[in-house]
Amino acid sequence: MARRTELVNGSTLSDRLTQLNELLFENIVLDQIEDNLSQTLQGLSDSLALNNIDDFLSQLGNLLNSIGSLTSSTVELILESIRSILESVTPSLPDTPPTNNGGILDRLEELLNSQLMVTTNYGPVTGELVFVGNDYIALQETTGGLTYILPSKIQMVDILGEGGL
Amino acid sequence: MNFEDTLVLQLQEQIGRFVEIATDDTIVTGILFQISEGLIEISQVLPGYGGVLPTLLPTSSVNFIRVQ
Repeated sequence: MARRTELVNGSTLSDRLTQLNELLFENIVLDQIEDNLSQTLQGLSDSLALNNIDDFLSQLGNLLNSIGSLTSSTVELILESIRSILESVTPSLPDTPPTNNGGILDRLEELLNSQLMVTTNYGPVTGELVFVGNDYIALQETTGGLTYILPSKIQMVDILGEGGL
Repeated sequence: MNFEDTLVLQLQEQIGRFVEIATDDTIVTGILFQISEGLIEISQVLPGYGGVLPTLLPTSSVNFIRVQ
């Protein structure tokens, strides 16, 4: 049971999975597995590296079913450890993948050719919205400058005049 | 004017031009020197002696880039 304390330090999902990986390979099953399990373990390791929880759980189920040399107490330890890890990381899993402020880009696409005042962390930029890219927008300023703005730095957009398409 | 889909590609077409780059707290001006994923390099022209100061800006810190 003392080994469980090795799992509590990491703060990110990746850290936790790395710790689980080490626990499985170095502390529990390294000397106990049979050779024909090594490929399954490698697949398990790969799925951990990819942070793919579903793949990981699926392979883990296959693995535990195929291990005959592990004592039931060892299997129990593995399952307990994994359950506590998954419970500890569940709150940190995002509901949806980050979209890089895609919401405002989608809306800004509807405002092409409009006069906008875009307030960034540094300050406002005023001009005509001439392009909306995947990770930036372009404003043609009345002073002649062409300005590329990072959407993640946009605090506010004032629509000064709607443009026609 | 044609625009590229990503900022990196768009800025690579502007290399050699004079730009102003605003971060959260300051604005720097210089010649756009090199662009890579996550990093913008400019050469600031120092007043007085015509010296240049190479400057690195992580894209994550950039608010906007103004091309003259």
